[in-house]
Amino acid sequence: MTYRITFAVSRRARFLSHLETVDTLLSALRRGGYDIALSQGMKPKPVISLALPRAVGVESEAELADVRLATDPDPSEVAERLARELPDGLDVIAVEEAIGKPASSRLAAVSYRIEVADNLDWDAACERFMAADEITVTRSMLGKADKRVDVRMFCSSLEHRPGRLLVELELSDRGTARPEEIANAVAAQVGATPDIERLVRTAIALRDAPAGATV
Amino acid sequence: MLQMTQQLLDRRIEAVLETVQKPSRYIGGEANQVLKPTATSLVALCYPDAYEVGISNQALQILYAQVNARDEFAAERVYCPWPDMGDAMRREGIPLFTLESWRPVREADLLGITLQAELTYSNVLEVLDLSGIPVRAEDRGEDDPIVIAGGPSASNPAPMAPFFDAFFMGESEEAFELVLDAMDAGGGRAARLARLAELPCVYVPSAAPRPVERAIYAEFGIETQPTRVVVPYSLAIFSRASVEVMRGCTRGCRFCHAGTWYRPVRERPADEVIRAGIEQLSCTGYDELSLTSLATSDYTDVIAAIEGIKAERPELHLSLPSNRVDTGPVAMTAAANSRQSSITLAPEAATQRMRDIICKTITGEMIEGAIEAAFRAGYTSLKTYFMIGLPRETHAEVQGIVDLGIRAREIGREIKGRGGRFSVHVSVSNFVPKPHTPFQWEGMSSRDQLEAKQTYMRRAMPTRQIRLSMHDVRTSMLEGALSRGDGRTATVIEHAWRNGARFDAWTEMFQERAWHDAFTAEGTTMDAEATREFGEWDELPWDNVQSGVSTEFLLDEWQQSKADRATGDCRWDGCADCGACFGPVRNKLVR
Repeated sequence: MTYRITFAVSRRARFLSHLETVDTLLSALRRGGYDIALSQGMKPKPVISLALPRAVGVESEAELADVRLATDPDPSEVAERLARELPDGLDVIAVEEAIGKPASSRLAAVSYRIEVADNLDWDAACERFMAADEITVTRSMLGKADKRVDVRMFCSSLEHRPGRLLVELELSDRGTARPEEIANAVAAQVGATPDIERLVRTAIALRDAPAGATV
Repeated sequence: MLQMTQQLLDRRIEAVLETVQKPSRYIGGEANQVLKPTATSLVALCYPDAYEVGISNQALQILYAQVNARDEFAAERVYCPWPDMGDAMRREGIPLFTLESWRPVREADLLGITLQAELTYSNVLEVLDLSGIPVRAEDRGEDDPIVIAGGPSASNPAPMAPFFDAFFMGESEEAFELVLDAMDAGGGRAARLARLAELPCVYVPSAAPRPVERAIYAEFGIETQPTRVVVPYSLAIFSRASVEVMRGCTRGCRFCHAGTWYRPVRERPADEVIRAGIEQLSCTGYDELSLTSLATSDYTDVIAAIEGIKAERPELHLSLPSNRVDTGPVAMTAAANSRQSSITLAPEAATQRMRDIICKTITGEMIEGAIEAAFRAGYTSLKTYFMIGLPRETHAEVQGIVDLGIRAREIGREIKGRGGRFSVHVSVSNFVPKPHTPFQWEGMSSRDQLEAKQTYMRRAMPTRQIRLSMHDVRTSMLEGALSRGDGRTATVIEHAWRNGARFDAWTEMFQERAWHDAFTAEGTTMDAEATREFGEWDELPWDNVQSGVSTEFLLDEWQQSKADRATGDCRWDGCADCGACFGPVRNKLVR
């Protein structure tokens, strides 16, 4: 049976890479006494996928992992055993049976809470940012040429509350924006650079599975 | 350095981790790590290389469990920060910290650093300096931990003596308890060091000179095999369960330091190995188990252990490292693990003459048989290990490696067909003479000779289906200069480290200039030190360390080697009188 695990990443565990997070989940499940189902083919691999890679250093309150076990234990039992075996900073929020296509193929949007110092006029900055049609930033990637990206088009909502920006970013074929890009671009609207204190992913929204697609 | 609260330190560490590569090297928190807030004394255990190398070391896992088993002590791990992290820590004034509690290493009462390889020596100084501990023992005060070395390279303490307060010689399982007792008995630094200096297996450079004896764990009971081991993050080079089935090897390869340093042979019964293996698998969640030793196919109960484990966990992948080059062991390795597509064979030398010189008692027939068995068993990648620069090597030996590479390809083609998919990997390292071995008196081959031989092999070895890789001569020369070094070498090491040397075993980090300058400043050269020959009457820098194996035996083995004669294995061919056995210390085979 395939299970959807919702879990949080905090404290030192936020420094785990995507691959390390996957391996940590797998070994915790194995210690919990479960065999992971293996893929078919020459080099069978455990069937697991994280819905959306998380950048190293970013915390999360809503990571999603789809993992297939070789047996069909009760989801609540999986949650309990997993909670016991996960290292500090990885916490189970929910385990349920995963129905339909994997979460990674149904991504709609991702939300972040960007904790910032209130040392600039965020409300004005947010207003100008949302009023713009296009806001282009330069994205540099190690070993690749710099790229110009319009980050405004991905931003479906943006709100300033004391000490924090709440932002929702669309995930589409055209890619997405990074939360720190948004914070920088918003602050730039009032000629400032932000002091980002924490980046927390707060939700991953999935598209509904089309009717009849249930596996 | 200003004192800062733990909370403040935690925040500053987190801030720095935002900026460095692979921050998971520094976060700890892995499954099965041990936190002991009630312990009164912190013991920091350090492997002076990157996390991914150090976390895989078995000896430190044994020590971690051993120290943590005592209520009053908390063992916490520390590794050498990668240069980006080291630089950032210096910039931000962050002292080196343990992984478990992020406490400064300097707050430990005891800092144990394992010396597994000479090319980590510059990192030892880096670790001390980042911790805020004076690199020279003579400059340390009451607030500094006692810094103790262990591990195989401690068997020649001279090059590192000024940097350590003490050296622990040999196996920790029983004798390290005495070190902990000496720490626990109270008093200041001087009192503790005085007690350590009384232990037969501990060398305290500042105390009166006397012989130091290697500690041997004669019993080799299964209870000291850790089962609830730390499960490293996935960057670790080895990530699997492992049970040590046997310690020591009496094959007597004359280049091999471990072949002396872990004598005699002690085996664990199969039923105990099986139980420990299964328990470790369930504690860790690993899906692979390694039965470790210096030569697992020599372990008497190897078949029983494999079958027993397979009976309980049929899907499990078992790996048997370091197997003898022969048909039987290859077939056994293949049966134990169907997932592996590659197998490693280590003939070390390609001609019978050289195998007799180094006492590697295998024949050409056995090597060909093993290669054939490997391809028949379905392996598609065959990796072979050889050495060049061995004593009295001629062109025939070097040519022999080329010929054997070609022969392996021929065998592969015969079995897999001419268009068959397989590859032969010939890996060639450079012989480095080691203390406490029959070759300890030999000089290393010159840099020019090694480079010429490598150039020849690159030209002579065909490239189709054969991959030739050769060890960097530059780092081999350094290893050679350090391994048999003396008191002057210590000055060189400190100088090179001050010049920026660190992570010398990592090709991309190796700073040859820093080392050459350091040797020059001492009025010598790296090559002169590496190629230095000792006469049989010369005093050796490691003469104060008694491995248990007598100098007479080593000398006799050296003479035998000059006569191209191999010596038998005492497990089957009668005692060779090496001196390692006394009282309860003797070969302990399960049958």
